Amino acid sequence: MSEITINNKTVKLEGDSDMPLLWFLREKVALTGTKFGCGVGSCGACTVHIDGQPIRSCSMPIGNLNGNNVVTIEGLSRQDKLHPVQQAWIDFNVAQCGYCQAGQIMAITAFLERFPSPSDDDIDTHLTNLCRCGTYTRMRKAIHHAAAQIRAKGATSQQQGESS
Amino acid sequence: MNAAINSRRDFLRYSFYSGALLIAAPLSFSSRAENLDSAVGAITPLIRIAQDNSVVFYSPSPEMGQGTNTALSMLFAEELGADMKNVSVEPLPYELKRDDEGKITWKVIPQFAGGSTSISRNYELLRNAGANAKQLFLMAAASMFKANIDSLSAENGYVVMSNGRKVSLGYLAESAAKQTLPEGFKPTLKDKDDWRIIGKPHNTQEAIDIVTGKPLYGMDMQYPGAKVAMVQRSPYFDGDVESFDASEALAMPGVHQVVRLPRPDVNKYYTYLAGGIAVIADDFWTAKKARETLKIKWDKGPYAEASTADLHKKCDELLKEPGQVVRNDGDIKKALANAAQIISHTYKIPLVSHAQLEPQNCIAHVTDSKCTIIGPMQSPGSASRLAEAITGFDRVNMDIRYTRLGGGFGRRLNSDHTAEAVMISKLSKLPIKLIWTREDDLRNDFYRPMGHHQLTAGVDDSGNVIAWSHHLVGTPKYYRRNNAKPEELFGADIYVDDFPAGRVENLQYEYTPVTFGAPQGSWRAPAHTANAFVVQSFIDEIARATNQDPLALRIKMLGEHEELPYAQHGGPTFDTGRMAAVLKKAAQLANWGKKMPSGNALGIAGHFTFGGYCACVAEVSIKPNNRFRVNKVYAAIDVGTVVNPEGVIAQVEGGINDGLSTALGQQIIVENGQVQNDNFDRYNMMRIGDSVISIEVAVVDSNASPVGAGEMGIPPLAPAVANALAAAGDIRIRHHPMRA
Ligand code: FES
Ligand code: FES
Repeated sequence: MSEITINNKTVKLEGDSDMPLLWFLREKVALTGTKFGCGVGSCGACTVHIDGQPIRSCSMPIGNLNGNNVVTIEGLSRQDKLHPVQQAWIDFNVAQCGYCQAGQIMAITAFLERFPSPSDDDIDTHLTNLCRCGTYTRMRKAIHHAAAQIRAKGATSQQQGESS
Repeated sequence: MNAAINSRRDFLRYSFYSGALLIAAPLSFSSRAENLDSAVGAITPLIRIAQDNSVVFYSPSPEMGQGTNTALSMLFAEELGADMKNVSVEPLPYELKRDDEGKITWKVIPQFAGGSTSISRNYELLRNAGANAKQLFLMAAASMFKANIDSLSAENGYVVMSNGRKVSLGYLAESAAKQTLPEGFKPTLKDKDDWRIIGKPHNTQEAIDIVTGKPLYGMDMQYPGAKVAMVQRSPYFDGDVESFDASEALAMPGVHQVVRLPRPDVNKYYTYLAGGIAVIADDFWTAKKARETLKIKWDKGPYAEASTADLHKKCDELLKEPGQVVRNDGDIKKALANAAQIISHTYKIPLVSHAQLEPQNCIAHVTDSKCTIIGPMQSPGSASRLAEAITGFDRVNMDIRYTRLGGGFGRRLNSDHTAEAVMISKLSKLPIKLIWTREDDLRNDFYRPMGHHQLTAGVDDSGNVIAWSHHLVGTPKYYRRNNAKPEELFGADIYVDDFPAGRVENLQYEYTPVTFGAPQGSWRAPAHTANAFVVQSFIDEIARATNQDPLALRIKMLGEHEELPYAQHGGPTFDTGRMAAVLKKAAQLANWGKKMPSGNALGIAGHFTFGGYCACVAEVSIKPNNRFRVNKVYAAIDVGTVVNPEGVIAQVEGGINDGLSTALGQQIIVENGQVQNDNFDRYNMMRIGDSVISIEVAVVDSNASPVGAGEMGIPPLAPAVANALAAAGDIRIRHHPMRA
């Protein structure tokens, strides 16, 4: 059977080819950070990155994967350094029950790659994950803050790159 | 293995556990605890302190996003003198005991989350427990350093001596655990002025675990050998299995058993349990595919033809007939006859689902002698009662552990999911993890009751409201409650002391119950959401019809500052002055009366929910194609003494978006006896694109006794939005979903 990379580890895919990646992650490799909310691609709680794209893993059969690079919430921080979006989530105290937030963070980190300086309209149009607890207003603040952090860092690393 | 399955039962028996220790201090009795079945002389294994000074606080209230882990640990840490930076929180395993008379009572402390009661119930209990624990540390330090105990204090995680020397609580912990409090010791609690933790903003304790995807929720728990169970439930309310063929499922690799769930006597169990067939398999996907192969013939039961469309028609008809008069002040008929102007409108509220984001799930393991339950619960007590009824085991000896909940909102006050899991484990003799799909969850909820409300007011020449009548025809939450008498069904749907009761001389509340098969239950701020919408919308309509300012009319109706008797939950009084104060505060934040561009306007509403006062001003813009956007909400809340202002603000903000989501798009539709919109692609919940863009919350602090804040933010939101729309574009929406 085929192999994929999950959070930098090579993993053999086993099980029915129509099994959604969500359940492979949760039950076969015990990565339970990716959540089950609806199973029909509507709520986004199961969002992961596949080759850099935000994908709702409940609707991605493992049979469609081969050689892909999957990143889950557990693999988002590098060497114990939180991603700026994760840090902003802590600083702005976004989470309530928290169940949607792994999916939100995965969707938003990918969104910020496409929209490094998002407007409120960009947020409204392109983010469709569900939060029953209603943390949207804080999320919006935290998104703008994280975007600014990422831009500032990008600028710094670019400067460093130029000077060396 | 995930955290929740390490048995804490074992370590509760010992003082020492992997270098850490458990403080067992007698609990003081709190006035609020007296009416619970309660905490007299209990021992409190509420904290564990390690040598490195880290403190684990075991929370007695299941955490579902309402912030009690943080707020309750603050209460304890304040009096203990701990440093919140070192405090982490875990759920306290459910512990019961028999008292001397053999009556079952809490072993440690009441364990429950619902009705915004966690703060009021624990406010004194946990501060006293913390102060008792502190005393043990002071005693330990006094004996270790031959110091006078009165010269010692505890703060920021250290015991401080008069010479300024500091010793960490962690260092003292082993010795502290060997101390015994002097007979009759009564701790002195800190003065409010000396608080270092309570009243200061604290972020969610578990934020780092949430944003890194740690296993916290019931859905994430694992149990040795547990198989996944999934149930095909009757799609008809009160339906049941007539016959079934599971041969295909049983032939599938990875399928272990198929069992039929008996429908137990609902009167005995006091919950709704659907009839159905459970499939037990190696994993979720196998169970789901096997479930799809089941061939089941349903006995459709008494509600096979039921539809919500017919239900609404029936409500319209019944609204024309008189109902049961549940409150009657003055002479409503005469007052209406004498009124200069009569205003009357009807408002409609649909059934809605809890739709907490984590679908129902539960681990259960029933052996010949033991019952273990691990999962998301708001009421482990009701889970244990049901498990006792099913297994026949003494619930005092069960191992019950609640996890963090991916949302509660009242859904998990009911323990149908834990009961199902126990039943399946008992029948299959396997440890199982029951998982509901979203479809299962939306089809098998205890829905928020629906209803049609007719409001009629009589106004005199000077614009005073002299007559008020409110008739609600709806599906009662108490409908399936054991022994509920028909004349008591109104109690959970119309609160007879709600405003404007006591403020309009001639006032009548009427109720007509309608039977519908769907189970009904408590949904965040239960009937307050519907009643605030209709009452606060109607006051606005009166203001408009009589050319009065909506805020001024509210203040006039509230009248003199007075505490009115309030016999329902949240009483014993309703303070008109506190209500007026939050209305004025929200209006001030919003700059009420300011000039706004056309198509934009403000709307105001305020409501008293479970002891808390909250008002909202919504700022809306009308958009093309009958759409609108809530740009900003200004809110003011008074929940008495504030424990965690940050938590209160977060709850109000969440309530505002949750209130908007519910009002905009949510309704459960039943046709041919079956729920039609059973997933999020058909059940419309709000996304960020429709959410309130910005929210400003003022927290009114006071010395009044504290109440929670989980529910107060919701009720005033929908009417504030409806009132703003009326002001912005003469659009008066008298129904939910507002977008329908
Ligand atoms: S669980 Fe995948 S989108 Fe909801
Ligand atoms: S924080 Fe609870 S669903 Fe988003």
